[in-house]
Order: sequence, then C-alpha cells, then structure tokens
Amino acid sequence: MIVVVGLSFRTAPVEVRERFASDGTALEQVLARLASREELDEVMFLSTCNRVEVMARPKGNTDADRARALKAIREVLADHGKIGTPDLEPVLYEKEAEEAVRHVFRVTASLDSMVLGEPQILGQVKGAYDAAVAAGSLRSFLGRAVHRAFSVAKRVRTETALGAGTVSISSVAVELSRRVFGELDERTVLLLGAGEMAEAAARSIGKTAKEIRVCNRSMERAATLAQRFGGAASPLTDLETELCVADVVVASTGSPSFVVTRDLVKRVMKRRRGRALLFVDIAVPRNVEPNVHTIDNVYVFDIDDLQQQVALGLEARKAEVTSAEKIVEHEVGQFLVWARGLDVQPAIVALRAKTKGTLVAELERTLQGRLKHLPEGDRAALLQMVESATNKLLHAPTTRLRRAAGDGDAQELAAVIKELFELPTLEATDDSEETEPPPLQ
Amino acid sequence: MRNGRVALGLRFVQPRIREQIEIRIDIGRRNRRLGRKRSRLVRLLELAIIVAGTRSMRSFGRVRAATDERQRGEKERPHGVRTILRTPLVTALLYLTAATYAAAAFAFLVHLAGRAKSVGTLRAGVWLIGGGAVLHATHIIVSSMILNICPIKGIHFALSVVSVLACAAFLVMRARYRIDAVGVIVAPLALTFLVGSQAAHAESGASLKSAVLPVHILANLFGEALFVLAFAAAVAYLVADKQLKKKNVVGVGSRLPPLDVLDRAEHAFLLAGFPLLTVGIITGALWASRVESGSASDIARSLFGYATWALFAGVLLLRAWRGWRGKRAAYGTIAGFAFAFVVLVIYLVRSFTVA
Repeated sequence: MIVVVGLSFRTAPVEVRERFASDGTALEQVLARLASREELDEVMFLSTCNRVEVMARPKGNTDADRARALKAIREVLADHGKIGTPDLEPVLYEKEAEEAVRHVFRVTASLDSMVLGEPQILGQVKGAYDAAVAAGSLRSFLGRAVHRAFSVAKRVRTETALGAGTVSISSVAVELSRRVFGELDERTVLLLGAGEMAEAAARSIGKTAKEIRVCNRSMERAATLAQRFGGAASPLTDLETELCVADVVVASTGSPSFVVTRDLVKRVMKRRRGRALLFVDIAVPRNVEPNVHTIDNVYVFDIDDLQQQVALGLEARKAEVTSAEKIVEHEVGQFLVWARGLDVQPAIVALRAKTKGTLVAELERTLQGRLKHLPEGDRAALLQMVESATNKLLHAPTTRLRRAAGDGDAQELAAVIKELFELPTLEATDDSEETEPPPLQ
Repeated sequence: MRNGRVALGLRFVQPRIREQIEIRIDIGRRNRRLGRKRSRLVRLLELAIIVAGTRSMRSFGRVRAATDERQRGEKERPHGVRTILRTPLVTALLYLTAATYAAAAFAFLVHLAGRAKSVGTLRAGVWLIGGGAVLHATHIIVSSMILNICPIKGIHFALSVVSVLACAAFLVMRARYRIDAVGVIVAPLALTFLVGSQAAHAESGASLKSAVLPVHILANLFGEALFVLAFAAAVAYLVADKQLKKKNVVGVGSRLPPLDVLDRAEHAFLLAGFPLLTVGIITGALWASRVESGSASDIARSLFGYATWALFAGVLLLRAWRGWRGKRAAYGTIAGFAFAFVVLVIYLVRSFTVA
C-alpha cells in the first residue's frame, strides 16, 4: 500500500512552505534522493506553492517497513527544506493505506485546494507524475493509484460543478465580457488608469482580446503599460474617442470623482451607433457613474458587484463538495478492491504451481513406467488433460479468493490455504512488478 | 378522357393506380381553365404526392372513401371540403411529434435552470428538436397524402410547415451562431404551431390555381420560419439583458448565448426573412386583387400583414440608420412577430367561420 507524507497550507504557515519552494532542478534532485532510498519502492514528489508532498510505496508490507519508509521520507524532506526534524514534524501530515489513497484522490480532484475546485492542481500532479516516470521511480502500483486520481479528477469536473462558476475578480470580469461579447478575440479592451490593478486586469482579460489600449492621466505611464501589451496609449483628454473604439473598459484610476459620466457615455453611445459597451470598475472611489448602467446596451459592474459574484461562486462550489466526495469514496473503494486482489495473488500463484506441479510430476512418473509404450500424441493429450483438470479444480478457490480480497478479508483465507496445502511463503508482490506505469492520456 | 377528368399519359403507372389517379384528379371546370396556366412545377409536385399517396395509402383502404368524400364535397362546396384526419398512423405521429417537442423544451429548460454548465441536456435538446422536426415532417407528408392535399394549401398545413421549417432553420443556424440555448424558445413555439394547426381542419379550398398563390404561400412560410427564429433570439436577448442589468451573473443568463451573438443572430434572421415577407406581401396583394374578396377577415389580414412588414422594415432601417440595436431591436422584432402571428390566427379563425 502507499503512504503520503507532506505539508500544506492547512498545516504549515507560509514561512515554512516557502522554504520548500524550488525550481525544476531542485525538484529533480529531491526526487532522485527519494528514489535512491532503499526503504522506498516507488515514489513521486509533488511541490506547489500550497503544498509539498511525497507519495510513496514502501518496500515490504509489514508495519516496520512502513515506519522505515516514513522516516526516510521525513529525512529527505527535512534536508530539502533545510529545517530541523523537530520543527518539521508538527506541520507534517502522514497518511497510510486507504487514507493515503483517498488523500491523493482528493488533492488531485482539487477538494483539498485553497481555492476549492481550482483547475491548476491537476496539471501540477500530472507534472509530478511525468517527472517521476521520467526518473523511473514509478511502477505499476503507485503509478496506477495516481492514474486513477486523474480519472477521479476528471469525473469530479464533469459530473459535479466543483470547478464551475467564477471565484476571482479577474475571472468574473472575463466571464462578464464573455456574457456580453462572446469570444474576445475580435474585441478591444481599454484600460482606464495605468496602475497595478490595470496591469493585473490586462493580464487576465486581455489575454484573448484583439487589442489592449491604455488611457491615463499621465501619458508616460500609459505608454509604458501599453508597450508591455503591444497596444496604443492616449491621454485622458482623448477618453471620449477611446470609448468609441473600446468594447470592454477596465477602470482603475485614483480619481476622486467620476471619470466616466452618464452624459459622456450617452454621447459615446450615439457615436458607437448603439454597439454594446461594458465597464468593469475596480476603482475605489468608483470611476464610472452608477447610472451609466441604465443606458441601453451599456453595462457597469463595480468592485462590489464583482466581489459578490466571487462570494456566490465560492458558495456554489461548496455546495458541490458532497457529491464530489461521494465520487472520491466510490473510486477509493474500487482502487482498494484492485489493490487487495494483489494481496492474494501470491497464494493463488503458489496454489496453482503446487497443484499443477504435483499432477505433472505424477504423470511423468507413470509415463516413464507403466505407460511408456504410449505414442507422443497420447502423451500430449494426457498433459492437456492435466492442464484442464488443474483449471477446473482451481477455478472455484481462485474466484472465491479474489472475491474475498474485494471484501477485505482475504488475508485469513490465504493463510488457511497456505496452511492446508503447505504452500511456500512468497513475497507479496504483484505479478506486473516490472510493467511500466500506465501512460497519461 | 371524360369531361372534367385528366387522363395521365403515364405509361409506367400501373393500370389500377392510374384509374384511381384519374378519379382523384377532378380539377373541375374552373380549375381546368386556370389549370393551363399553372406552373408545371406545381402540377408535378401535386402529381408526385398523389402517386406516392395512392401507392402507400392503398393499404389503409381509404383511398376510395376519401375520393368519394372529396368528390361529393367539391360538388357541394366549390371552395373545398374539410376533413378531420384521424387515422392511427397520423394520430400516433402527431402525438409523438408533440411529445418530442415537449421533451426538447424540457431538456432546454433543465439546461438553463441547472447549476452546472451541463452540455448533455443542451445536446439532448438539440437532438430532440431535430427528431421532432423529422417526425413532424413525416406527419405532414403522410397526412397530406392521405387527404390528397398539397401540404402548402390551407392554414392547417401552413402552420405545421412553418414549425418544421423553423426547427430546420434552427438546426442549421445554431451551429453557425452558437445559439443552441435559443432552442428553449424554438421548441415550445414549434409545439404551439403544431397544436394550433390541429385546431384548423385540413382544407383543399383555395386551390393553387395560379403561380402567384404558391409563391405567396412559400415565401410567407419560409419568412415566418425565419421570424420564429428572430423572435426566439430576441426573447433570449431580453432575458439575458435583464439578467445583466440586474447584475445577476450566475443565473439563467449565464447559459444563454452572449448578448452580442443573440443580437446579431436576430438581425441576420430578420434580414433573411424580410425579402421573403416582401414577396409574400406583394403576391398576396396581387392575388387579393384578382379574387376581389372583401370580407372582414381578408381586410384585417392584409392590414396586419402590412403592419408586420412596416414594423420589420422599421426595425431594420432604424438599426442601420440610427444604430437601434439590442433592446429596441428586440422589442421591435417581438412586436413584428406578434403581428405576423395575428395574421396566422386570422387565417385560423377564418377556417372555423367558413366551416
């Protein structure tokens, strides 16, 4: 089974988390260090700004093996964060077996994210998976678990609204523009004001826009910002002309009075021949006179409107958690059935080997003795008979064992079978040990 | 060739069927006079329907009965006979079509009311509209064959055909404009037209005696279908606009197409429908002058027809000239559609009063 050791925004303050921040090469080093540990059979390393996690499969199946693996991971993490183990331990969480599987599934499905349902985490886990595959530290078991996690995340996204809605100011602004104009690739965005807020807005809303123009009191700053986004700059005196060209206006000037008044917009709308105009006013005090919103085909959203949408979006996502958790629970169950099936695999293999071995040995002896006159064809037929007898005989115990494994009480049965048939003790490893982890879609 | 009968020089038609066709094509004295002027296309169309109808409906054993009834009717009432059409197949098709349209409307409603952006219900709605249109078209073809009436004759079929055309146009245009969600208005409208058509009996009345009338009817049918779509887009626009004006971002509006898309689609449908309406109005006036009928319903119908034309002309002109887009254009479109709808209702009412 797998273990997870890590820290996240839930357990560790940013002072601790930032110590683990690292670039690509550092990540590879940590992964290599983890992979080189004797105690770990498979390992994957996930590092985002909100969490640092090691997912691993210990070598061996006993409690002592697990404890050794956990200790090894803690050591590597302490080393990586350059932090003493006593300081690290209070912020670390450790999960084993079923709990660990559930954790991996929940993290990947963004149920454990700071912003519930945010889509980035899936990409980050995929990145970690790719790195681990490249480093050769993943094999079928952990690889399969993480792979399952991807399809869990996909199910959660499509079957629930956990990732729906808008949960940030900029995404609300983008959503509003879409609601009015559809795709923005034929639209012009005007930044009214050239401060940091304008820049942040330009980065999200302007990503898909055809053109970004900047209109600011200080022409100098307007030009600097416009240059950064490859747009045109103009002074505030040209506002009326600029409003005739723009489709979406993001207002963020520090002006104490309204920069965009109702009279101005009425004039502009005449010149625009009624084409729709959207104002996203993120400035406090507001830049756009509120009653501009009452003009036909003009829509004004101020910072409170946007904030309200963010709150609504978050609330809507919270309402989806229950159904998402249900999906996770179901998938955890499915995975455990598969994993427990691996536990009884050695018993099945041994039982088979013993039965067939005994029968074949007896057959050989008889063929060399009393039946040595038999021609080659008959010998082959007898061998075939032994084969199918084995299959028929072992069909019932095999399926019963597998089913029992699914229900979680196979260990006892397997032990009984071992005892009754005097089977040799085999290492409990899955039969696909050497296979590659499943490829990513 | 007996008086008032047309012998068909169709060698390939089996003698038995030919006999039935000969019986059925009783054009009448007046028809015969105008019949020569009839466009060859209309005649071929009617012929094709009759041949197909005779072939397929023999199994219903109703051909003779329908023919007799029709012949009797035409003798008694030169302007046509009304038939209530209730064969099991036609009834089944009718209910199935209605159920499919209703299911489509329901799917779209679920899509709009749902919390998640569920593509499944939207797709289901589109498929159901498509299925409904196919069933509906089948219904029209089968019942027109049984009745032996050209499907563009009379208000019974006209209403039905408009709804099929509107659905077909929606299916073609929804992909181009990405206005799938507008189906929430198209589906109930199609259902309304279907139910409305059942209120009127099929009539063989005003037959297509000149080339003017089929042109008039066809232009109006296609125009009406496009106005159904323009109306649907306009309603969707007003709903989406209201949502945004109320600063309601997460509600129904979020699953409707963008405002600008709706506005442009509505304009495109109007622009395409308007020339058809113009042709319809002109041919209607021509026909009216020929028939010289002056009943109250005819006058009201033409008045509302002219009003529809004037309203749509106004909407298009003001948009081009004064930039009247969005809400004003949407209200104008809805008003224009309402007038066009009144014209259809007048037809419907007349079909009762004449009966």
